[in-house]
Amino acid sequence: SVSGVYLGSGGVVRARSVVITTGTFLRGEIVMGLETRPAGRRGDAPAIKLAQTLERLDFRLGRLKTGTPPRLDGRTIDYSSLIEQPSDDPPTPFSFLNLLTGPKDVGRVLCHMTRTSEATQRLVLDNMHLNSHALQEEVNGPRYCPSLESKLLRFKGRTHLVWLEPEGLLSDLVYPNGISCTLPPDLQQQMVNSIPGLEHAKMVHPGYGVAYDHVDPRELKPSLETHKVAGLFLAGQINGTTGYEEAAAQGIMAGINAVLHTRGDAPFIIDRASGYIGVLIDDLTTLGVSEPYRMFTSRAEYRLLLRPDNADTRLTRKGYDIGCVSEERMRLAADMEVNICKGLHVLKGVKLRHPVWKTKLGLPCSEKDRGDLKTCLYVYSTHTCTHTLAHAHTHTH
Amino acid sequence: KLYDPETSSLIDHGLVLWFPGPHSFTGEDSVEFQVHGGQAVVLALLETLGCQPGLRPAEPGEFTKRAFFSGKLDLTEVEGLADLIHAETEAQRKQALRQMEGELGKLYEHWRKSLIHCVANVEAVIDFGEDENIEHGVLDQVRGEVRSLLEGMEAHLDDRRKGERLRSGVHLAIVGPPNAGKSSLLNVLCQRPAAIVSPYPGTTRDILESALDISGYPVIVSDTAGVRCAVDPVEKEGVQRAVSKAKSSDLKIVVFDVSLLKDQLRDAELNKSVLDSQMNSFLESLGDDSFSEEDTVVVMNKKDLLQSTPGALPTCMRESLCFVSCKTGEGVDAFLTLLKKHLERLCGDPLSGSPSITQTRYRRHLCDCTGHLRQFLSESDSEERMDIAADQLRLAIRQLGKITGRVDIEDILGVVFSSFCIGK
Repeated sequence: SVSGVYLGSGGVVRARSVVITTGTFLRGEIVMGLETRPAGRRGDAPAIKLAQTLERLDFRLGRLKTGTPPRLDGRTIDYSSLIEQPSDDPPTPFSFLNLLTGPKDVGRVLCHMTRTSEATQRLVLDNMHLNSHALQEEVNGPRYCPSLESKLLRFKGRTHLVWLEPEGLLSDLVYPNGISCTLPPDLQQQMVNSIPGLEHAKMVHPGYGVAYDHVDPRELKPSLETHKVAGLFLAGQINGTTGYEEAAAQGIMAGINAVLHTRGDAPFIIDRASGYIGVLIDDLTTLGVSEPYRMFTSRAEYRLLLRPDNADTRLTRKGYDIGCVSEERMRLAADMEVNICKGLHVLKGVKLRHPVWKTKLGLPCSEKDRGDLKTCLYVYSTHTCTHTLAHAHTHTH
Repeated sequence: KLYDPETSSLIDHGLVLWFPGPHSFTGEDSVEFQVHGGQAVVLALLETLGCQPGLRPAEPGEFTKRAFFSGKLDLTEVEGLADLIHAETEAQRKQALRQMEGELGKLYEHWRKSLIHCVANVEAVIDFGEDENIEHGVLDQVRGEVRSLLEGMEAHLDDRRKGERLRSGVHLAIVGPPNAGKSSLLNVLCQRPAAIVSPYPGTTRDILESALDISGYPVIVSDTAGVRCAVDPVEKEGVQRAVSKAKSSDLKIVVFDVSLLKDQLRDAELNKSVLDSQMNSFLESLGDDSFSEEDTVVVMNKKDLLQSTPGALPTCMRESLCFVSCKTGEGVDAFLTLLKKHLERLCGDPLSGSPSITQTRYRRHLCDCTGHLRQFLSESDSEERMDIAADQLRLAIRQLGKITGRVDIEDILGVVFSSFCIGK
């Protein structure tokens, strides 16, 4: 079992449980043009010793690659001809504690949409000899298209969507989603300028590909603790996933279980029917990964059950029971459960004959409708009628 | 030469075959010992093998189970193999063989793949519709594809249960007034073709039933009590049972004693109405007329007792009518030919057309599948309910998967990514 961590600076931190989240740092190599150099991320050294430790412990390692696009100076982008993508209005907050009652000025920022051009395709395809993308095929690439090169190679003759996303409210940097590439930096600047709206855009940081080691997630228990070393937890890209939400989900689960481990308590598990976190961890630990794992709703067989609107009833109590949810949040969730119960009770209590319902709601009747009594709940779930209509009729009883 | 490794004693001379996986029945490495088949030899070999470390006797069906799990056989092929082993007649053998070779499985797998394509398109719209360029026509295309699949499945289901009947046997009931010669006819049937001696495992048979192989088709014949308006309660009960047996049969043979009509049969014209009224009064005495032309064969027995050849016997007033004499054998060949024609109609030709549904299990899953497809078509009208509609498609695929034993979400993702340019 784990007893602590040796730091690069020479110190030791003792711990009964350790969570490793190396991202792309494990024997990471950055690829730009034809050059490959060891790096975890632009400007950061890779983690070599840690990779060696994991190897020594006999963990099965795999190698994956991902990429990031160049960053642009938003002040040099011409948005005038581009399609706007406004934020949701009204915005839906992630947190149930955030009780927005009306439109609020929350400092929303627009995203914009543009597309690659024929010139973009020509530039990239004509310069494949300067690009190590083709040479890197032996490392696992995903089935989806992570890079501009893959898109242009696999789906020729089409323009491809590019989303221009501001990196922050106070930043001028723009993240052009959809053009991560391994072109040499000078060609990247040209490639950017071949895109409508970005003719004069200045590239602040070049994009690059990164290849890195990851651990086969089948080495993990559903709590994200490794089978081989007690108290050692792995979370994030080290388990072969890609994406922020995927990493965050694993982070919170590993963190919770690391604490429970120190207390000697049973681990906290979410199953596939209770949340996407459950789908994610179950897929990883039972199926392993052959490409960087991204979550899609189609992975969830209980997709209809796992909705954002019922996240509180699905998960809040579970979190409360292990001590990571505040009283305030739990109270809100409990009130919601009670209200839903009451609401269902009312809906089930109002009964009218089926044809009567249809007439009241302005729906066409048919001879097939028998005269038996139907609850308002039934009507809600079977007929496409607006909330207001059904609501109005519930109130008159 | 096979020796016992412990004692070095010789067990037998035989042939040993090594099948390296995946080129074996189970897909794993396997060895076959072919020895002289005597009881003692086989026992000695099995005992020796049983003592080897790491070996244990296989459970019933275990080799086939392993073949299934390694993907060499799907469920329909496994069940076809079982049917082949249990086949008692030629037509059954042909049907089982065809299924074991995978034809039925291939048909269902083809449908399943089409549906996976459909659901992948719908999933692409759900998961990526907002930010990728999914063409608008995609959903209409899916609905069209689903509609045509539905038609194909309904046509396959509309087969009047031929395959299942061939597999479990055609139920034949012989009915008629007392002393018409029903039992004699049954004896004729039993003597000509080979009787099936062992009962078919899995089906229950009345002790009054005989299982026969008639022209390669499995037939289960029930002899029944003579039917007439009965007064005696025991006899009445017997008649009731005869009638209900006949009703539940696939094919009915109604036997009459034609010699009773010898005075009435004079000329062609009259004959038709005479024979018809005979039939009708019989049906009346049963109190029901559920004997359709299609599944009834009328046999006029005791032809030998008619003095004159009843002139021009109308050749076919009723499609399936014949004159026989069980005693002399006259007309029996024609009767058997007629019978065979009906059996072919009921069981279908196992080798022609598309493979038949052989088990109720398949039929049930196919019906559930078509139900889900119909639901999909009605739900997919509205874009808001697309995820609910997609669920119906998934359920449809699962039903097909239950027939062949294959269900896999990775299949869907594979199709999504190869058809659509989904970025990072």
